[in-house]
Amino acid sequence: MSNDPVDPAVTRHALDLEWLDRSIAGLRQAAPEMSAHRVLSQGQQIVVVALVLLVVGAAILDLILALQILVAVATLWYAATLVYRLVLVRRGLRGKELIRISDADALAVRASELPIYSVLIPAYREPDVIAKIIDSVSALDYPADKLDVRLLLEADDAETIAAARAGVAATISPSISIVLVPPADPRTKPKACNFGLQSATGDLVTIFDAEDRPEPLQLRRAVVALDRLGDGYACVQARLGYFNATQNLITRWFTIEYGTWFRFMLPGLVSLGAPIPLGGTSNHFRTGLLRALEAWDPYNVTEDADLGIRLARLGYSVGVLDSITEEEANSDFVNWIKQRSRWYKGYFQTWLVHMRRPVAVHRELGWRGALGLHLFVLGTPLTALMNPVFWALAIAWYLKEPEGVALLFPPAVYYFALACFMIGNAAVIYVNLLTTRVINKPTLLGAALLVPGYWVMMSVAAVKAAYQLVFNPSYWEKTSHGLDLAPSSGLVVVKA
Amino acid sequence: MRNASMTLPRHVPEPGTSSGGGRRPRTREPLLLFGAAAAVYLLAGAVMIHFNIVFNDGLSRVGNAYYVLFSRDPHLGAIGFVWNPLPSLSVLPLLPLKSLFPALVTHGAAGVIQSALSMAGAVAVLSSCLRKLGVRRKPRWILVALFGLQPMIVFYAGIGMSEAMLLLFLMLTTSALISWMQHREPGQLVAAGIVLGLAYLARYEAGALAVAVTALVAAVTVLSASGRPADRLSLAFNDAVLVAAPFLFTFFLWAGVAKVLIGMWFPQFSSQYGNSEQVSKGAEGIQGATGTGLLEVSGYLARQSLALAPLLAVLLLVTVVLMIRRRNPLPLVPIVVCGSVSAFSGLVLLMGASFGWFRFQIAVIPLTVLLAGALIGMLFPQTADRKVGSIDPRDGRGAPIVATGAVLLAVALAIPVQARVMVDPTLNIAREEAPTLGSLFYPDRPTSDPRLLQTFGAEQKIAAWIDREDPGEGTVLADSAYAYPIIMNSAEPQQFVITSDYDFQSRLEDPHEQGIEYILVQADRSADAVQIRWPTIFADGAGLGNLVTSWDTPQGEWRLYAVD
Repeated sequence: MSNDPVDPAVTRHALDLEWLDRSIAGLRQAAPEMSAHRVLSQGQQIVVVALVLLVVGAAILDLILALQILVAVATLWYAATLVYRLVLVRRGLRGKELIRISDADALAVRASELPIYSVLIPAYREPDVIAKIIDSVSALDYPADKLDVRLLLEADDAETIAAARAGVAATISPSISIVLVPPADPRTKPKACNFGLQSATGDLVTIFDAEDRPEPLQLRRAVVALDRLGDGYACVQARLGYFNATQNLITRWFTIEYGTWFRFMLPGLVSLGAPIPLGGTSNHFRTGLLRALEAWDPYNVTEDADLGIRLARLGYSVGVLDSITEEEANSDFVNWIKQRSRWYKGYFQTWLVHMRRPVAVHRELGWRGALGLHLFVLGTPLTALMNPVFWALAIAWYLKEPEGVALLFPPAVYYFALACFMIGNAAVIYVNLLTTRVINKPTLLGAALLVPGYWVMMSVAAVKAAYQLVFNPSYWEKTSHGLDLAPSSGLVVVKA
Repeated sequence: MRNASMTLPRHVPEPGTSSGGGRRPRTREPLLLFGAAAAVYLLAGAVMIHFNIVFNDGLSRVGNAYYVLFSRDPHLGAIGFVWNPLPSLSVLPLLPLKSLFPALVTHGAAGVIQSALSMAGAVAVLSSCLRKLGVRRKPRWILVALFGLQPMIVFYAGIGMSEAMLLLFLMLTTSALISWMQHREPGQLVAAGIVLGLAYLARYEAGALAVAVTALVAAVTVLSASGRPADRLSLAFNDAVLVAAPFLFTFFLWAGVAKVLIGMWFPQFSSQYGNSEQVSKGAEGIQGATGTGLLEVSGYLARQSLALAPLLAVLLLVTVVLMIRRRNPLPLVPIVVCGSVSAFSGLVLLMGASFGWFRFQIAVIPLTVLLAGALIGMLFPQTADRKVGSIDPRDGRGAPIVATGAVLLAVALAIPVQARVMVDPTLNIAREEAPTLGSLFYPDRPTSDPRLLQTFGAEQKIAAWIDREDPGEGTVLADSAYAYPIIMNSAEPQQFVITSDYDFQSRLEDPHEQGIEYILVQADRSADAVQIRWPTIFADGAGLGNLVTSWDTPQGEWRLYAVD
């Protein structure tokens, strides 16, 4: 492995332990409080213990009252997350926050004026899709001599390395190199990306997943956008969509969800001045700044979302770029649960990391931004976690009207909770109907109406995420790709 | 411990380069119009209360809200399920002020505030509709005034019923749909959809409105979207679902809540108090006014429409011709929105399921004004001001002024005609309004009846009588569907055991054992829950007790029985 034929220089450096060390420990050393190396800080441990004691103590003193208060707090929480989301949709709907760079403007920049662009492509045990990303990168409308494409492979992943070498040898593009990441824990995508970032030569840098199909003008649009937006913007995030939207019901739901996320939620957050949880791919950074910020947290399993919050806390803005990268929507139930549970766990991690200094965070983000951190970053997985409890209560109440349920809801809370339940569920389905129209995929309407089934899947993932957060916080649930391929090509077998 | 974020480079924006995008300048015109109209309408409402012009339907909606807060069993379900809840829900926040302003409840002034503010909202939104249709400021303001000052508009702004709210929702729907026709942004369908959903909670006519609007939206998308026919159909279906979904939600929600709480899906139609029941009881009187058979009833509807908007047909014809010639579909919006409600009301009357009140055709008033606006907008598109407040150098040119003036006059003609119809009961067109208003303005005419100007005078006396007796909480049994003016005029509303109380049925079954001291019943109220259980109670007390006293009212005699 030390004699990689494609780029010996990179491989030589790749063995440099200093790079590896910085990839793993850079953020932890520069800003220990920003790293998810530990799930809870000492202060947070005390708060958690105190909260548990408080609830247990209250339950012993007066069980009914304690439960009533918990139900009332949960109801308020539901109402707040619902209202916040609807505000985001309303603001996102205006479409003013999407950064639109016309084809003409994107193409107007002369090749000689374009900056060097590094493209990091982390891949692990996905030999079957590696050829595709080489095709997609080759399709980018960007001068080859200004492209610095790096396939980031784990040094002990022989299968993928072999596929990548074959793919690179077969392409005429001279700008693709293979970077072998020395085996070391944590085995996470952010660590690989950090490692790749060390040797990247570009002024700008972006990440694509191996199965991504970025829109060919995306890099040019990002160049123009970052130039126009100025130094206050650390990043532009392109929209993500799916190329296998109609493969099955799960991919339909996933497509609608991404449509809502990138078309309403993120632009809405931009409009509110709230931090943007970045998506895992197609975020375009200024390389120097990203290095100075110690890039991705290798201990956070949603390092992208975490980086978005860190950028906001440090005063940088993120724009949402109107350019689509098509990804493969997870079409398999088990695989989907794994991926989603990782995201939810990462969101929990991210919220906990940034809540180590609550006062500082609120000062840095402002109240609207902090609301975003709570209601969006924590709200997304927490609501999914709470839902089964309240669905069960609602079903029990509808079927049997048990006395116990009635006791939990004093009249004022009852009416409020009932209104939240009816209006909230209807409003969320309605937003899905709106999404299918806005992303111009009206054939997904049926899936949009069936979306409560998707919520059940989310809740399963949330339970798994909460369990893992406690027992295995930095464990990376690997998502298989290539499940959209024809059966003849075989399914990817993944042992995470 | 060091502040972590200090070690990472922080972005410090240069002074004066804050990234807050420039706020769009907001026009204050709608707010000013709303304020001015609200002042006029609140004044009108106060004058009407002063002359004791209070209509049952307005007062009873306030009553429904009143029971939610002040009955023996305060609960939201007490709002009742026969009538749409929004007019009652909207006055809930005002009712706790009744100790400061008793008239809020006793004279239904809370409802008057509701209708005045709703109508003021309708005026403001109408103005923005006219602006979107391309009517520049001067004619727009004249049109808005010609709408807002029509006698029917002022009357229903001040009376405390739900007509104003209906018009507000019609205007909001029109406004959203005009924007959608112009820009085709799905968000505007969402706006229209939410308004339709709310409208159903205000008036059942909104059902027809929702169907018509959904059809319009689907048709426009099918005809104008690009792509293969199948794609256009699925886009149209998505648009239709988007605009109809909130209405379907409130429709099923309202039906479901009624089913859960009182065991009927659609009590407005099926219950003893529902519309069908009332109409069938009033059939003779209704047919006496409207005639019978398709021809006579259509003729009656045409007379009503002529009285509300004399030149509607002319304006409609000219607008449609121009719309087709200019290939400008915008006027379709008010035609579909206002027309659907009006057509529905007419249809129900033809089917013999409506009272055929004058106010049921009120939607033709904004229709006329919007058609006039569309006409002016199409005739002189170049004079449409893009920005509110810009000065058009072409102001004062000859031909446009004459034509615009003619259109405005066509609208203005409604004012004297309405005024005449609304005070003359012999015309038999404004059958609710004319007897009262006629008695007020022309007390010497033979049709005038001073009792009409003492609305609920007897009920106030009954309330005072019971208050003096002070029988205590939960002792007076009455059906609030009829006794509402008495309950609302009583200083101790919790004396009454009313239909929405949890123990109403058990107390009704055995008044004597259950601590009931008095039973209140009114003549000819066959839907009265008390009289249904004890059919002879009005006549002879049904063996439950003895007649204590009685009061005569225009609506029928009240009798108070003391339980043995």
